Amino acid sequence: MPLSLDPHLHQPARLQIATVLGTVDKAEFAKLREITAVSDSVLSKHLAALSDEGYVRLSKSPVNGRSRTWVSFTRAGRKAFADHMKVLQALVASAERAAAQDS
Amino acid sequence: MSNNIPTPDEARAVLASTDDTRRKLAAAGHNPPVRHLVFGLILAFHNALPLMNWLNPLLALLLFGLAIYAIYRWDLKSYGVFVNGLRRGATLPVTILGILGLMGLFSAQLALKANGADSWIHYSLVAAAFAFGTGFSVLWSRAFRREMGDDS
Repeated sequence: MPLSLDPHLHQPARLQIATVLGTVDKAEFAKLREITAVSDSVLSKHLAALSDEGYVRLSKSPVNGRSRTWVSFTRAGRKAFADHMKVLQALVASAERAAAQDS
Repeated sequence: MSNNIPTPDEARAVLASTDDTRRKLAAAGHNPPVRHLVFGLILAFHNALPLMNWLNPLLALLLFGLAIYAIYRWDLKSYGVFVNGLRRGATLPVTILGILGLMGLFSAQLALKANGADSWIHYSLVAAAFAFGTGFSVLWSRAFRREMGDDS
């Protein structure tokens, strides 16, 4: 496996967004803001970047009469996140193997 | 990270940060008792459908579907996320167990009706479906929280 991380998921807030979307079917904008602890405008920029890359889908639907923004992974986004995590896990695993051989 | 490939320590730190994010998501598995009881009621209603001769079967199915949809909307409104019951992970075996239990209880109800069982047996089975649905909801939430790293 080539050791290459996805540059679009590299940034911590984007990785947090991806971790949430990798677990749930869809998440509300406010929930993502709460988890990432970034401002509305910063979160919007991250979501726009992920959307431009084809990784997330944004939709609006009302809850209690108020329009809310919902975010979900596309198939490409889900795969990119899975690959990104595999690279990270492979790096840690290879370091642990090397440490075990040295000891 | 100085380039696109992090050091193992950096990779470890990033993986730990994703664990933190999952723990924050565990809140979606903290359902109030009333949410579990409502789920139990929906499964009891489903189990009682063969006994409701006065109710049009299509209307009954529609009501069951609406009840499930109401739970879906409840979760969206309460937690800001929707977790698919059939997602891969620790919750999937629980979901499969739930579906098998639902089908088993429903089949038993149909068989009892075909054999002309006493009313109290039918209602006992509906009560069992309620207990099963409530227990299933509790177990599923617990499995989700554990998977997210929240052992409370």
